[in-house]
Amino acid sequence: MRTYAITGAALLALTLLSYGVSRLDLGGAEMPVAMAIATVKVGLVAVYFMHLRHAPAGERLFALSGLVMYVVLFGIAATDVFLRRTTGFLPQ
Amino acid sequence: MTPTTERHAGESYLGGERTLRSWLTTRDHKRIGLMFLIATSLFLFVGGLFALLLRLELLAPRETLMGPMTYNRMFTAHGVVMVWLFMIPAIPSGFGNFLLPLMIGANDVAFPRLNLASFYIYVAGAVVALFGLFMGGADTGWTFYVPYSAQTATAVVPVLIGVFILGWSSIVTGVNFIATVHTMRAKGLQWMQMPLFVWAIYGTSVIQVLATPVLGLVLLLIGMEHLFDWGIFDPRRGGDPVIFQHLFWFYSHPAVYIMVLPAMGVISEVVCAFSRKNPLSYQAIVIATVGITFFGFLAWGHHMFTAGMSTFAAGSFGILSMVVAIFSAIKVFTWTGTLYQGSISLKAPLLYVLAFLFLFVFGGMTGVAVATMSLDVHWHDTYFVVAHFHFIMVGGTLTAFLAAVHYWFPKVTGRNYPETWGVAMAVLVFIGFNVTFVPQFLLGNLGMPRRYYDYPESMQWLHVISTGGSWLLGIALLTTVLYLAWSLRHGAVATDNPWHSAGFEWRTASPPPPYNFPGSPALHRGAYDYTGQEPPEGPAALP
Amino acid sequence: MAEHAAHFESLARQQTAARFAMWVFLASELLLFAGLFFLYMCYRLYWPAAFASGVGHNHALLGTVNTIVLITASITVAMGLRKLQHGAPRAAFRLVATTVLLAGLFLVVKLTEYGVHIDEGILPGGRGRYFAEGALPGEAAFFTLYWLTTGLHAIHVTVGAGVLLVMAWRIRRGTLRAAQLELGALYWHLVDAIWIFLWPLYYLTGGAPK
Repeated sequence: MRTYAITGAALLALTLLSYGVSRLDLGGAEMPVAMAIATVKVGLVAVYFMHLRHAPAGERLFALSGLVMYVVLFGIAATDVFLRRTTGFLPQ
Repeated sequence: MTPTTERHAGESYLGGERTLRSWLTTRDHKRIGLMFLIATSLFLFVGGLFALLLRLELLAPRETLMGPMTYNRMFTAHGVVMVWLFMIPAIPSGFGNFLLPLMIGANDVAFPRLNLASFYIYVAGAVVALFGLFMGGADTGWTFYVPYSAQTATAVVPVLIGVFILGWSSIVTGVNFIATVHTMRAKGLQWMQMPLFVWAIYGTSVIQVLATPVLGLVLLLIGMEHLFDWGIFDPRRGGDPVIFQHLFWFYSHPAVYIMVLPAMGVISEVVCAFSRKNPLSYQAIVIATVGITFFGFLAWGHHMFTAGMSTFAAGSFGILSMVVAIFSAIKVFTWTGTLYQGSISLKAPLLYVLAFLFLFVFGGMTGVAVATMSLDVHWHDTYFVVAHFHFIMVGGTLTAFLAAVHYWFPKVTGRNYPETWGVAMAVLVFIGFNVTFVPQFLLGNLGMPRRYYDYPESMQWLHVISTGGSWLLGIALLTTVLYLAWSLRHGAVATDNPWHSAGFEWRTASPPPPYNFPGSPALHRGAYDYTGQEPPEGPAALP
Repeated sequence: MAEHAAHFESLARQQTAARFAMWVFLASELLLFAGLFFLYMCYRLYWPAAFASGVGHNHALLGTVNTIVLITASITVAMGLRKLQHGAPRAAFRLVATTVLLAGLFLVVKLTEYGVHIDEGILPGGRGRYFAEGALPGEAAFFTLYWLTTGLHAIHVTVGAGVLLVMAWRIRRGTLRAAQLELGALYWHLVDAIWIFLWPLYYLTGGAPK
């Protein structure tokens, strides 16, 4: 119970932090900061609420596999959307 | 080692309750697998009929048998039926269901009720998709590319919904099989002792689980586009149709491995059983299976070289596609190495394997060719690509499917098929296939675009040869069905292990009893261990 | 009820299998959202100003309230599971029921928000007054994605809440095992995790507040 209370408190605190930070003018850092906080929060949910901490290897493997597929999709497809001539992220 | 298998009538999974109701409500993986096999085979013939009609139209230039609109609808129907109703479920949901528990010494899959549900989801999806295909007939091709699929007046939405439902069947079966392999293996059966078919099905299931939801979402989006015109991929409203292609092929390229990995699993089993040898390297095949599962996810962009993708991305996808070819080549070397100096018996299943090896290598090599960006610009969307993927899909998956049908026919039905007919039709399938598709490589190189019902007269002789080949293929498949149906009643009653295979699935009666193994299965001897082994039973000893 | 299915050798093994299968299914669910997140990334790259403007237009406070609601619901279901595991079904029932109520609250807030959007003339597909009155190019794409993504998520919330409602009822009748509740809880946590990412993407990252 204590673990859940602490985890929950941390999640709520991070939520408020994320909201507070979003009211500042961070410019280009806004998205990375928001995503970093969200990643930490989801990590807490997965490790403590979903018990990945004590989970058997198979469960960890598939939790990871979902993540790996995100990396694959975003990572490889990004080489297209970032570098396409029409999007102009590459010097023409 | 082999459990005693005294047989009594009614002891097999086919006996006992024989009512239709008992089949439709069964939780027995063997009955569900058999129902999948029957349903998917039926759709093989539906899709095959479409193919024959398409080839017939192409016998002569201009409109002969059907107009352009009918032609468009028919190649869409051919693609949708063959991809989602036959090839994706046939080996995994059919043979996978039947064999997976037998091969890991389990009584059933982990979730038998879910397994039955998967079959009914499949049937529901098939009904909805066929309703769409017959009632309005989508004309987009099985790829549903935007913007055309958002604008076409044909009934694309029922087809999308049907395929969406079929996707759920695929996911449910995948989850079930993964859980089965992880948690239901017999005591002492380690991962690196599992039969190679189990590895193949495991890899396939992983792809089904991780890629299919992306397709599901994309189909929903296309449906929204078509029904409500939401402009998700419409450039005028900030959308990008190329993103559709990324998401579509993120599923649909790995889907190629959903079709071909189980086929490779079949090949591994049959090669070992008919050369009475260990695979040349068990580890190599396992590593290649896992490698294809993962790298299969990284190659989707080679379908999009001419779609306006960034040059850097296109180059990366080209190279990543060739990595998959390396793993495939490892498997081919291992299989041929297994045959080398084996004690080969050239029965119909092995003939299909030999056909597979030739056609798969041919299809794979042309695959490397079209994965080369500069060459693909010339071949893209021509018959060259059509021929290439039919070499993998038909030459690979269909021949492996037929090898499986013949190899496990005694296991499933308890009867033998007539060997002479089996051999003859295996040869005819091989000839018919080559006559159909080799000319298509030439046509593609001459510039014949895919999905056209018309062509210049100078190309006609190649089209005529191809159509003739399609008839050979059709005759061979039809004959196969006839003699298999005949064998169900009149075939010689099979012994428990007519091939004297060491495979785990043969260590129980044929057909197996309802709970697979009487007592705990003994799997101490390896699945490919033929060293110093007498054939397990029967008078027909080694030659 | 207390017996395990015939094809498993023990109840423990059956429960291991079920929980493992749930994880595999969650991986699949996660990928269902991948396409929408991916579309968001691409279109935000194409239309940075329009997306920032769209995010700025969404009601950050309502979104934040909903985030707190969902996280609290996650905490209560996790605690409810622990209570049931330790043989305290009454406390477990209260906690799981709280989760269901919070899920309902989330949906009420979300629907209110949808109502506001409809009033403002922000409909999917770039339809409505808002876009007719000269929105930035690309804002249509943003709001179409907004409707699709939050809508799909709301469907998941509804399904998750429905499952937990049935489970709460069975806890009360004493017919639910902790291992079964764990499956529902896992699903609920996933729904929560997806929202944790949706929230900054659709409510917070709108540049400096006006």
